Amino acid sequence: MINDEFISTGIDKLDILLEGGILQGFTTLIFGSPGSSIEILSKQLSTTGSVLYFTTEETKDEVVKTMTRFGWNPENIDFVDIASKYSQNILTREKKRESIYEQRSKLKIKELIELGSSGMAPSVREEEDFLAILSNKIRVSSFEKIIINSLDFFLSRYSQEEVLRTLHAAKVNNIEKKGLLFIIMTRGIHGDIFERRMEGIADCIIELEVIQKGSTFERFLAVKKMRNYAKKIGIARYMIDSDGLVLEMIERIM
Amino acid sequence: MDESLKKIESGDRTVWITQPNEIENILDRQKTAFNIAKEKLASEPGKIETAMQVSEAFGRGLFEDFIKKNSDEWTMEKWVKPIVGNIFNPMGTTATFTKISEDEAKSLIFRCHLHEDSKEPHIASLFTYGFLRGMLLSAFPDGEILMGSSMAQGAPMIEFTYKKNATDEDKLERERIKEVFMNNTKKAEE
Repeated sequence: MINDEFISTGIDKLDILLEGGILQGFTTLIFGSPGSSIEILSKQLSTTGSVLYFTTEETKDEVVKTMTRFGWNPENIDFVDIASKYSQNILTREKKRESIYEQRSKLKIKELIELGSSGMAPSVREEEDFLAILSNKIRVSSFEKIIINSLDFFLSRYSQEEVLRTLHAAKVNNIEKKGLLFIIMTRGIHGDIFERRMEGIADCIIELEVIQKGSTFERFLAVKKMRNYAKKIGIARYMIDSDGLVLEMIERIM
Repeated sequence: MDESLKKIESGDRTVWITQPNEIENILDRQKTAFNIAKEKLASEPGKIETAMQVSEAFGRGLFEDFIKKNSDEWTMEKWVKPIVGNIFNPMGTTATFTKISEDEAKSLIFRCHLHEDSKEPHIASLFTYGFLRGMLLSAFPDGEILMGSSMAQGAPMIEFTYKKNATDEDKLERERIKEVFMNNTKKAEE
């Protein structure tokens, strides 16, 4: 903690850009694009405080391995490894499929007719409700930071309305528990209307942008919104080195 | 059906053809999402799942913005109409629907900007399957899209079968498509 009201992001220069961190109870939306190293930022945010980390694209082992490579301690993190759960579901289904075909090849025609023309087992559809896992875990837990990396996974499986409802509930929980909620999503996939609605939910918006200049790429981190703290809005160029995301040349907009 | 989908009857056969009328805004939106899916594949080799999720999320977003308002209770016919009018036609997709019934539709895609412009037909096919699936499942959570090939006018075509209620075997199609994509990519690299 930097003071009673603000919580450190875990990145010194980002705290400087934010003039002391992010206010307790705030929901921060982080927009990124491929190549912006948003996955490194999400891990770096987890380096301080007690953290609940939802990982959807990388498994817990992959996240831990990367954090260790950067010298960051993952022991303060409670992982909800959705990526592994999801992969396991796929593997289970694949095994079922193989076993169904094995069984089917041994069936006699009469038995096949009784089962129906395909001879498939009654159901191979069971899948965990990942949005319910997200919602429930946030409701019952108490952490300084909650990181959802990333929302894209949920938006590929659930309607935008369902996801928004869950996020509203998560936001209310976060306000009550005075923590920080970070929601990471890719810009440009989900439509302008949804992005605007997400921007409405967020108290703080951070965007990572990659701009090609000739044969090089320049990366910028922009704080685009900070509810009731307009002075914190600003932009900084950043690079990625062995310490992770390093901000340089901070520029205030207001 | 309205003018967005032209009905042609010949003998005992009926087909419905799209009326492409490209709109830059939606083409740009498709291009952006496609590039993101492509870059995800490049930055995380082997993570086809992530690229598939991007395309499905893009399809769900299109459904929310352009399709959802058309109905509360979906039938395949009610779904196809806005899909063609609000998505296929503005994207310049030339397709012929060979079947539109209460719970199933079939379409042959003749022309698709992504396939022509991207020069990466395998990724374009994966992306197209994904975003169509996102749009279908938004209306029919128990549905599925099957992707097959067919011959039309002597040329191989992609044939999509849109099902309102998928069988257990149909539900395995998504993983099959990922596998096909992986194999095609490997072959292209060899």
